[in-house]
Amino acid sequence: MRSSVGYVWVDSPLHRAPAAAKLVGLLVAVALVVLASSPVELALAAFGVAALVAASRVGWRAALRSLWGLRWFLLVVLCMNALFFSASDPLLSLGPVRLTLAGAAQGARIVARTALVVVLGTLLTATTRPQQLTSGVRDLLRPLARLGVPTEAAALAVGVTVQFVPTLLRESRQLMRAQALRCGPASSGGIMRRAVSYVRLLVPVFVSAFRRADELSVAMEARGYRIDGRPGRPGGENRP
Amino acid sequence: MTHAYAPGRPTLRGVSLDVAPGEFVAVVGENGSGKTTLARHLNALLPLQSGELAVAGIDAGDPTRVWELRRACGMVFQTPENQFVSTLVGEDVAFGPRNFGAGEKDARLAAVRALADVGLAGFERRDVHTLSGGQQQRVALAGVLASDPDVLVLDEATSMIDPQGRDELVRAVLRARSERSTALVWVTHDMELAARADRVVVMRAGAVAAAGVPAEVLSDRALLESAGLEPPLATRVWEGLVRRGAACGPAPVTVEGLVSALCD
Repeated sequence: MRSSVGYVWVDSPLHRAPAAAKLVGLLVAVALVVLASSPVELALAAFGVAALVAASRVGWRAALRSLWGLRWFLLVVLCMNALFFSASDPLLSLGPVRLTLAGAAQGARIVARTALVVVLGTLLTATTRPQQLTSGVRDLLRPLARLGVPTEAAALAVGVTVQFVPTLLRESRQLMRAQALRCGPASSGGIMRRAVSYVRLLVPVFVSAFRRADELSVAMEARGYRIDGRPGRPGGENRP
Repeated sequence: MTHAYAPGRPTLRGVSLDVAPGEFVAVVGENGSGKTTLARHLNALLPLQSGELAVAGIDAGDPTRVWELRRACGMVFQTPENQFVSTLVGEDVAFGPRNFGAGEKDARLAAVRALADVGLAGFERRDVHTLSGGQQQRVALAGVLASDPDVLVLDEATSMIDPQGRDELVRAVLRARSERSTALVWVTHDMELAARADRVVVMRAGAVAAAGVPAEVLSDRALLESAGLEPPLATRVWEGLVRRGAACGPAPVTVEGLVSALCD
């Protein structure tokens, strides 16, 4: 059984770990990945991420699904860096476009870092249910409440956002199907056609998201929520 | 009461309405007739521009009593999934009581009780996205009932759910009404539902075109057509029988009434 937001229902040490610890772990892991620059450091980071995927028992397909969705974006990043990053010692040169080894290496570094961060993020959502995530954010922010930071509002915002993800995903899929029926699938045709298809898709998705957000804010107000008062606290770990 | 979203274009024009404790009032009318604006005023979601409005004895024009009024008057909206603040059913239902000052334990107990009242006992740990539309709307209803309101406003709350979900919601609302003596203001396009009310209010162009018992209001075809509505199914069947000379007398507005009239 799998929830629509990517949680994978298996038992593993990562699934059992507290959400707050996983969030801190994610921040630390992302920092290490971003700081890794040499091939050896990146290989070590990749090994660490692979070990986490194995420990999570979510399966490689689930762990790499988001990455597969970004393959074209990552390819563009790699090409742009390889062709425009450096002007010295070009392997190939065509007007302002210069293919360089330094550029290709820089592109590969960025792609590797991005891919590792994406897999780490996927692992978090695959091993943490949305309500645990909200609860983890609240636990992490709690010390800031003493400084007057509206932590409850922040945790609520995270919870509400997470709550809306499956709805918006479902709506996006419906719009894609509707568009495919009328104009052909967005994933077919040339790059320009695809770009136009995706832009055409984005507009109704955004309109719908804003409409839903507006309706939710009215419903929250009707149920007594006030940002300046005593807000509700959905998402607690041990509540009913 | 009058309300305008833009100057010179009133959405509500001199609406006057009384609802008694425990009474079930159905508000019907075509889109744009002012039903939702009226419903939102009952929950103080819109500022009172002119006129007077008291809900459960609380002055809606007094900004210091807005939250008191919202506790006394709960509102269920059209789209269930646009009302949830948490993926977890129990968390979502406890949201209202917490906002209205209940402690953690009391809010949890209120959520458990309200879920049981709407026929969803034991659903506290369920994910709202795994529920049917009807169950989701009952969760939304429980989220309102958990604050124990004196008045319940439902704004087209059955229009986005299937017939089975609609029946489940109607049963849950009517049970809550009978057990808690909650006054019910149900904005709806569903004439069969309106036929079950104590009183029907017909809105037309921002004003109350008619108000009365369902048997009178919903059998008046001319009135309903002028408000962009049509009579309930039972009334339409009866009209057909009358035209063919197979029936005579006052038209029933419910299927049960139609069956009784035909058997008699």
